[in-house]
Amino acid sequence: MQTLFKEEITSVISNKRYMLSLILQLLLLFAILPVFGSFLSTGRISITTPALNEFIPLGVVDESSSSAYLRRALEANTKLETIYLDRYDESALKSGKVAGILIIPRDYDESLNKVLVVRLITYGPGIKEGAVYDALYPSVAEASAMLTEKRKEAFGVSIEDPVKIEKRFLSPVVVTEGGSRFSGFFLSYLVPLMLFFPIFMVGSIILDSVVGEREKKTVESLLAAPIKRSWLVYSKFLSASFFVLLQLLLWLAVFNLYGVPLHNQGLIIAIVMIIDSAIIATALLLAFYSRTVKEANIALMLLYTVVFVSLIVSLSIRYFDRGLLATPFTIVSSLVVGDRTGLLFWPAALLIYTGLVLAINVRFVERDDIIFGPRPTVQRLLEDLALWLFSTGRAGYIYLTLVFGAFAIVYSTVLEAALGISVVFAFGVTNLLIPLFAFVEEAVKPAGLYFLARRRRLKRGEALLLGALSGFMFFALESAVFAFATYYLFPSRLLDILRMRIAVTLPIHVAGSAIVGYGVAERRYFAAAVLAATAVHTLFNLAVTGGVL
Amino acid sequence: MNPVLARKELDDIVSERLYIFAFIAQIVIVMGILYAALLYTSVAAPQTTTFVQTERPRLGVIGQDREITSQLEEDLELVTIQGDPSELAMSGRQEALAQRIIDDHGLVGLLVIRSESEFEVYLDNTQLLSGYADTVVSDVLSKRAMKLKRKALEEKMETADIVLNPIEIETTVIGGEGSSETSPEFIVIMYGLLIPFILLLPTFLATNMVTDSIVGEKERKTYEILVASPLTKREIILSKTLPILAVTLLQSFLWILLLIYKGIPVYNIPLLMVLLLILDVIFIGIGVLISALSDTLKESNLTVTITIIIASLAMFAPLSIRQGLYRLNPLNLLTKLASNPRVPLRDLAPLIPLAALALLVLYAGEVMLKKRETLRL
Repeated sequence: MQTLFKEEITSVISNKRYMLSLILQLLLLFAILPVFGSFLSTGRISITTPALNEFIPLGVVDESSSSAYLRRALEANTKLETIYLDRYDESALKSGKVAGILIIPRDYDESLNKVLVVRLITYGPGIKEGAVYDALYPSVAEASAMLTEKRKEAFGVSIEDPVKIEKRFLSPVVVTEGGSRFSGFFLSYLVPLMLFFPIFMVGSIILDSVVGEREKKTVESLLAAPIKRSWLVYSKFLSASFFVLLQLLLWLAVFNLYGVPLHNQGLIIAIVMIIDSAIIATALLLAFYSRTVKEANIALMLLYTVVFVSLIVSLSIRYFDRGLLATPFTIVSSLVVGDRTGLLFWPAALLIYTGLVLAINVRFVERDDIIFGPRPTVQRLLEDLALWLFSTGRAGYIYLTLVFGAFAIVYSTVLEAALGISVVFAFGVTNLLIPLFAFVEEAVKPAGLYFLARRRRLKRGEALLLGALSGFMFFALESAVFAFATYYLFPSRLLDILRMRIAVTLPIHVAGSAIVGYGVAERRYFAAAVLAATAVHTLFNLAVTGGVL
Repeated sequence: MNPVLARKELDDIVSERLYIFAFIAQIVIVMGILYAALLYTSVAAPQTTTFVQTERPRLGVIGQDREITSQLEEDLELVTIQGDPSELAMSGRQEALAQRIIDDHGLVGLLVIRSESEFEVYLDNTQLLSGYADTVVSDVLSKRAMKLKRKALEEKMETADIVLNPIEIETTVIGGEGSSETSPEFIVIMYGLLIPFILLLPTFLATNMVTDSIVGEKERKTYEILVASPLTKREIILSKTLPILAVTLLQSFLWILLLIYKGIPVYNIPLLMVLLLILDVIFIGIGVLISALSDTLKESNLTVTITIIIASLAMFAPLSIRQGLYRLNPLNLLTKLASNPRVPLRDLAPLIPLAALALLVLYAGEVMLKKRETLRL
């Protein structure tokens, strides 16, 4: 396997263009960091892009003969497009030719020692109305400052700053030259975001390594060699992980070089690599299943879109309440600023997930139809999985219902969310959701039975037992999710909720799925069984929402 | 241009699952961008937006100062913490104590008022809204500083504002109130960054589509057949690129309509489409150039990615540029056109060099394709 791994690494390193993109990424990071650093050195987030030069067209009516400081300050303001007008023209405001008009009156005279008043007129319905004052103020402040200095000399006064303010940031802050500091937004949002960029760049390595090999027909010669097929999977997994780790280490080195205060760097590397391993394993699975580079491209793009959206949404929502949403991404965000909470559950869950997905990858590679074709459908694969799990022995019932129970939880959640949004959007009613959700759950819970039944005739007793077990597994997994959420949101009510679920929800789930299981065995009663189970479940939902329970 | 080849290219584009997915992904991205802009506004200036209903940032206060606290209460929720400010100073563990107080009370920061002119501010900078609280506190303390300066100066002169505040701005708004979603922060981020990004998404994709089309044919070995046909190089390039141009412009137009539908005005649409047409031709021309130099899709995809990164950096990065030169940045004109109901004619001048560049790049692509074919064949 060492040889395979070295081969994979060498093929990437020897490709000059991959190396060039790695170097370019680093240069990009060197370019980005100073830009972010200068944006965020004050408490206020501000955006400066070239597009904002001359963003605010400001009409200026200068009736005075002594306004040099102010004019100079206005012309130096890159955000303003200064348009000198002969007179106040309201139509220019209303038509949008200018976003505001600044009138410097006749009595404005910078040589006189008096308070000078200028008038800014804006048009309420104009979209830039609110931004005009913000854009103008720095110029007026600059001209004011120049006049202040002049008048201090003229009056022979000096102005000390009478107020002493000591400001401290409670999370460690590095003060670099020039007094730059890094705000919470940069540390807990942008830095974690950037730490995950390497995973998005490893997709092409996976594509080339898996699908490219199949297209170039080099996989046949590889399989003819005396190697275990599982080594193919592990070598590709390890080489992709190696490059992600390499990029991650390089990026951390750049952050350190720039003085970004990152805590727990060892833990950050570990957690980010655990998350990235889960994504790499999933990407490998999609790549192995794809027939062509284009198909794999689409599948990987979908995966990366889901990952990217999850990353952005969890980091964005985090600011509402740090305890509200604990996802793997927010753990990294917390670690960056020195907070070590939530380190047990997610890493363990992701490691288990990665192990499972790699095992599936190995099973894939051992199938000739996956490697050489014709590619089996997803349904066929699930049927094979169901049959294999059931045939493992006495515990087969448990394995089948556990694995497909997890599948059912995810599938029903996605379906319920999609249907829920569509129904509310289309019909504007929420009552319809009660029977709809009940139907979805009852139909999806015995997923394992459906696939098993297509390959093996089930006896009534077997189907009833499997149905009941499916309901139990679904209940158990659903309760685990409930418990997790309740622990974070309402920890004092955790036991009450679990007791209620065991007393009421458990029998409903078990009974409902047992009924559907009977329907799977006696196919002519299948529709009736699903309807009956849905009816029971709907009544239960109504009782809960009506406050009866 | 050959209509049959162009028709075939168009059919390939609309039936390609990757492009259909990219189109759907763009809709998601555009909606996501809108959400991000509103979220950004709620962080930078929560008082100006009703999009995100959050509680006001909570600031703890130790010490008494009615004037300061009444000013702070306009924008922050104040929590009075019992304690003697001097005890906090003497403890030697100010930061640890401050952190404990902040955690216990769910605060973003703590203000310790020692006297009329001495303050300590502790901020939990892991919380996004601490930046906003910092701004509010700084503004209020600046007003206190100004007040004390005024008091000191008025002992020596009649009107301190002659020195302290020499220029005042009187504001007048005509025509009624504006909309709450046109807060300055929202306008700046939408028109300065996000709208240009949204409108250029299809443009960036166009480069990929061109290389897919030309280099894809090279990989499938059908390019030689095309070259051997009676079509000229120019006809081949135009037949391949015009459908891509049409699809790209259509997408940009759809995103403009989507923005307008979501209540974000976009002005000067015809001129905007002309600018986008020129930019699309530039990027398509770059795609032709890359296709000429690449033999495989892998090579061309990588080159396209690098090119787009460089182009994005050049257009979006806030580099220090001499005044006047930034007018050559197409984003500057794009923003002006999209955000101003009227744009003076002189501001449209950059369209001319951009158009010239577009034709030049396309011509260079054609020449390079011819040259490389001679070498290949």
